[in-house]
Amino acid sequence: MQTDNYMSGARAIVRALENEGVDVIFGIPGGATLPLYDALKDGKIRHILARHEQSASHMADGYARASGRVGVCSATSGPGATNLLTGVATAYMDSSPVVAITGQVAKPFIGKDAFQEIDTVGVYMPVVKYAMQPLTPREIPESIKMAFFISSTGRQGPVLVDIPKDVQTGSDEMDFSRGTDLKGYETTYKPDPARVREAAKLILQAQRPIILVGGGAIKANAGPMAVELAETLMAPIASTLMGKGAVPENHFLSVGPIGMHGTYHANRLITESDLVIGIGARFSDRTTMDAGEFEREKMIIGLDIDPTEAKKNLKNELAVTGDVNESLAMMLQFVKSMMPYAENSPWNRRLKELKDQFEGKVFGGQAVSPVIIKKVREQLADHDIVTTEVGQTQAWAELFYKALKPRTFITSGGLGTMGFGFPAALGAKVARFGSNVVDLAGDGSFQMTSNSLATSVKEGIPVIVIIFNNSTLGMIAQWQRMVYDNRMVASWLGESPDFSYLAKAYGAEGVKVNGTEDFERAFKEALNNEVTTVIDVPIPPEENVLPFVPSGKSLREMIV
Amino acid sequence: MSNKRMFFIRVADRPGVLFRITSVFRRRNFNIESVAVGKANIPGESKIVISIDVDEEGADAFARLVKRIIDVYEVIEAPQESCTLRELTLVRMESNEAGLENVCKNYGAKLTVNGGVYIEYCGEPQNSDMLLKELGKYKIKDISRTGVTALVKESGKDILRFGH
Repeated sequence: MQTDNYMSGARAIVRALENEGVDVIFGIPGGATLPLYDALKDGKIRHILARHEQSASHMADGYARASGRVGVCSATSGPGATNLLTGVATAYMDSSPVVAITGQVAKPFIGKDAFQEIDTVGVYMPVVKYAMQPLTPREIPESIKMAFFISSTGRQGPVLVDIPKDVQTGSDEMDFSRGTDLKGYETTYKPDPARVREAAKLILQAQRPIILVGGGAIKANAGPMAVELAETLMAPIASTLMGKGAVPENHFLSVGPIGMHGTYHANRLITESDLVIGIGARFSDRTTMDAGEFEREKMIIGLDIDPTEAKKNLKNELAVTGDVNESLAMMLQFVKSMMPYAENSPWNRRLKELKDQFEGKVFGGQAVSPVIIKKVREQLADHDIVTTEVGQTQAWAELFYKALKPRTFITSGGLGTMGFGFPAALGAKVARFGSNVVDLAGDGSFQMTSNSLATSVKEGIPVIVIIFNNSTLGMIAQWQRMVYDNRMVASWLGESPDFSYLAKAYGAEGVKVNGTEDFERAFKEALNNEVTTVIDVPIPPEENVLPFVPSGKSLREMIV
Repeated sequence: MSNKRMFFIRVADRPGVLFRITSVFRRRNFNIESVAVGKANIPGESKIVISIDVDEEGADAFARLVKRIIDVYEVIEAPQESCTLRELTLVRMESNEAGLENVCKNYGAKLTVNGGVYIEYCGEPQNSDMLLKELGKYKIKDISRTGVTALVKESGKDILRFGH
């Protein structure tokens, strides 16, 4: 007898996704996902059609980062899967929960170099938290359940489910209630109280402690407790690029990001500190720069959910593995029971001195980009979202955009994927339709995924794209000027296209502004537009982002 | 001193697990000396034994990265001195030359003459090396070695354990 649970694999995918609470999928259909798309027709899930699979995965990633929920994307086999890969790798590097569903050629064709066949699981393996290929329709409910569970728990990350076409078309009795068998997988580690006490002792001994919040602090929503710790110690709070927004950057102890393009005072303070308390920060090379110099004459405490991060990059690290909020709560208890109140310490005075002198300072003469970014901040509400592309604009945004809430500053930190910002903005807008979403873009990056304009118009997802248009691959040009002795090669893009026309061609709004006041007017107008607006802002091509720490140097060797 | 270390990895018996694990070593351009895979004493589990030339710090990093793989239950990592090592070597000879029998006897290897001349030897890998050197004086047709498998000694030192 056939029950209600007798259905095709494709219908089972849709049902399993609905069971996970999925309301939207970003993707492009293809030969190997036709059965899935046919089943979507009868389901409740909204499908948003991308114009390139890379954008589909960035959209799902943006959706995940803005909402904290799992973002779902889909692509067909072969080229669909390889196109989707860049966005999935981007999500992996920034620990973003994304589930990617790819179609695969039917099982009898696997391994035969069939049309649009690649070994998707093999290609994805190094850039996903887990990869699965159900080989019978019955395995689908459990695969989807596992994918969501793995993606959203522990240190989050993307998961691939690659489903052969005949597994989608085949029918069977489905069991949606079955649990998942994942005995090797630990999602939470309890922080070890002895370690936390040891860390608390380090804190009490420190003269110049500094707190460093990373992307993990946002995922754990550890901002409030990080602030409490900072206020208890009267210690500065710095962030990594990924940690922006974990703690409101207008807090009196906040000094902004450290790193290659960190603020002058944050890089100085962390260099002068004798203890760094990392919260969900992985001490990446762009954050610490020269790691040996970074930890010279100081101790590091690293709170992280991922045990494999412990002492990965730094030797003087005391690692506390566990949910960072839980670790912080435990640590605060120890510290507060022993801590003398530290206001007006020499360290606190140093913080005030540097902050007063350098906060918001633009180095290297007049630059247009910081002015624009500050104007954007003025016009946006605390909960509004900015995304960035990658390169100079990203660095300007890192330096001058003050993120005031978690999940309002979305950027590709680990992989540094140009073309990320615009589709991520669309995904973020879908997740938080009540917030304005603004992509701070360069003309180089924007051209990598500008065809998402079609998606934004056709699907009714209005965002604002501000193009800091210097007609160059700006960061490349900056390195060629500063590191490669002014030998400019292949970094000049020229004045094409005219972005306002490009936007209009897609049915979006496009405007080219003249100067910063004109920008302000255009931006206010864009905030009231019901379609996506592209604002083209001319930027002098010689503008350098400063401070700048060249690779291989230490944070004390900032170029200003 | 040798930097040779052994990894003992308990994993879910699923396709792709070995690929995931070897990828961790490949990514950092380390050459795995040998891999041995077999079913473990718990149903649904396999055990992978890997031998690799790596210093303690590198081994620690590898152990963490391997433990990060979802299908991995436990990673134990130890210097070779802390392990009991065994390898199976099979050799096919051209013919049963005079002296072969004696060599085998000295090593405790088994000589079989049945549709060909076969030698099988199980022992520590360096003994296999020595045996093969001896046999090199005769006419060898083919050699297969399983690679080293091992167990941690009860008295072993510097053993790192991740997972449960």
